[in-house]
Amino acid sequence: MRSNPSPIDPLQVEDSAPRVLVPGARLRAYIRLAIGLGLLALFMAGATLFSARVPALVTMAERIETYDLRPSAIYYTDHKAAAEGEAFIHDSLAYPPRKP
Amino acid sequence: MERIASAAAEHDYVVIESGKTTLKDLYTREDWMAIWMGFLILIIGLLIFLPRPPMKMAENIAKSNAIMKAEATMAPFKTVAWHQAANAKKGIKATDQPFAKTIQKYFNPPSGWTSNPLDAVYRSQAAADALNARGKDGFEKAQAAAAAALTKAQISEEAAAAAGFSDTTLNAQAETDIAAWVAANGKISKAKAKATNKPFNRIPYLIGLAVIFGIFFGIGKAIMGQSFGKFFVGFFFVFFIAVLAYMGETQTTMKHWGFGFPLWAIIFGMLISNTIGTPKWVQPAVSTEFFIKTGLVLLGAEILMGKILAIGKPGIFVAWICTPITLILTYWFGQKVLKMASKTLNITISADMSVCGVSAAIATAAACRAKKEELTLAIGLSMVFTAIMMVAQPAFAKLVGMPEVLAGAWMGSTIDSTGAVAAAGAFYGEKALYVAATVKMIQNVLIGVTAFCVAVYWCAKVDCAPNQKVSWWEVWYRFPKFVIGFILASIIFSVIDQNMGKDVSSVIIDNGVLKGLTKNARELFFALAFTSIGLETNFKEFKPYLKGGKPFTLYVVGQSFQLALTLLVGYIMFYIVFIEVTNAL
Repeated sequence: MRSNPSPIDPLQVEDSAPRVLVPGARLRAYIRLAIGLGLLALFMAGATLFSARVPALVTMAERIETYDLRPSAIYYTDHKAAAEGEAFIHDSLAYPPRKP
Repeated sequence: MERIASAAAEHDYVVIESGKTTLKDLYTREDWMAIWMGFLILIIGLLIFLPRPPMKMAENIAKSNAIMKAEATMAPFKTVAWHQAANAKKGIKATDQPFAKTIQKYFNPPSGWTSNPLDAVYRSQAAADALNARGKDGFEKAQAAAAAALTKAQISEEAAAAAGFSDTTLNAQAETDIAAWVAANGKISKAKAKATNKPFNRIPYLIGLAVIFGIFFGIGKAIMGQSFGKFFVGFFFVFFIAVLAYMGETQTTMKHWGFGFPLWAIIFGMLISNTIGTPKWVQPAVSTEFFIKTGLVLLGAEILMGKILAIGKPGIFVAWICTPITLILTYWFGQKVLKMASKTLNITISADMSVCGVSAAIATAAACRAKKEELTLAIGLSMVFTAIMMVAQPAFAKLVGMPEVLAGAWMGSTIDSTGAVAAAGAFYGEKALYVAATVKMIQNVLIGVTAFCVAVYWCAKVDCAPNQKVSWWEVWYRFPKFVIGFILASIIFSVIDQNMGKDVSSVIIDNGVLKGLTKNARELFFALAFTSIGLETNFKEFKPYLKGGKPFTLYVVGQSFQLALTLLVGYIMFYIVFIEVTNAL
């Protein structure tokens, strides 16, 4: 993949700026970071409240916990459901019950 | 190669000059170094696990298979003994051995938490006791329910056996009661986990892991002529943010929504780079491509070609026919109808949407040298849509009364994220869960083919000046070399997998080399890569890509087409052409 130049580091830039401005700019940068983190925490809290009020999401959460699933798995080796499913299907096809 | 950088900068990323490779490239280029480092980990994994199979592995596998075979010939349904033998076989894992558990201690990701993030890395004895006290009731209830269901299933089975398995009513009753017992039995392990919590402190292990991989990648950087010390120091910061990303994923609601570590790594990284800025001392360790390529070589080992037969011919048709058609048509739609300016964004979104989400996006983006913000955009789109589809699809399937196997195949082939597929399947039913997860696994294997084809196509057709004819040597010069490692790892492990046989390979390769070591390392490398992407990305860089909402339109159109095509092909394959497979499940 190609990378664009990194965003300018405000702290590095400020270091070369007049000394009086450095603390203010640095503080503003950290305040922006704190606000960002606060918004993420707020999002998580809001999502939790929302999830608890939507029946479909409550059921989904229950199933995820019951089967110990990992919805964020990015490959089949990242969660055990794939291995269990494969084993179940393999055994079902390799040793199928006799026809009635 | 130099010509890529220079031509890319001057000619809008179109390669027009001929490149040359030298032997020096083997230890100075990231592509080759990623191959050596990836293979070093794979060899270590093989050396650890191959000589150490679990005690009496072959004997226990043979015993379980013999029971299943005997039971299968006896009754027209899967008996209690059949299921018990299947479970016993499933429980044989190389990762359950003490040495594997020690390795796992280092790789254990942060644990789940709800409101206090510290719960993810530290749990006191008192906290564990409190959790166990809360879980005790549930565990006892689950045990009692499973025991009662087993008794009922055994009584029904005996009644059916007494009638010589010729009474269809008794057979059906036995089958229903056995299915209820299987479901009740499945709930025990989770209930047990809730009642047997142990105290832990992940921090020393995480520090150990950071040191190990800091040295590992630092040596690679040093061989390529960069500073070991500067990389090693900065690596701790990148690693720390990657751990935070894991913590984002393990928050209870975020886990349920499928918002995984790639998303959080990018968000946390971007938050830092766009506020306080990525500190200068961290920048030598911000190595997106190095981490991604090494991770992809490891991912190659997880692409076991034998998996495509996991569900027989219908699975191949659903996953391996619908997916390439959707991928090609979506790319065509983006180019011809939407006229998307960036072909790399177009193919990355197409692969992400049609193949298997994040992992396909990573492999494709790396193969066509997409920009980091294009990969970020594709992943963001995928995660948002996945969160919606994993609830909407099973709800729709329920509404129309879709059979479980068809619903599983449909969801398995169309929901992007591999993990979300399992969640959607579980929402619908256990059989749907197994079919969905298996179809997705078959589709996962496609990322090797996709990445290889995209790399060749880009070198031979896309990265060319108008009317430029490219020789095969030129294609080789331009080819992203790490893809060779990626494909080679897949071939080697597929051969080992085939030679070992399904059952032994499951114990030693799947539940040994891969899950015991390489998969954990690969996941960590991707987390480091996404953190690096975040740490070097500016919010403003996304603006041109969002113009006109083309990525969104591309995704919606492609996904809609895939939903319709897969449903049609799934029905034809599972309910008309290969109905015997469906009946055996």
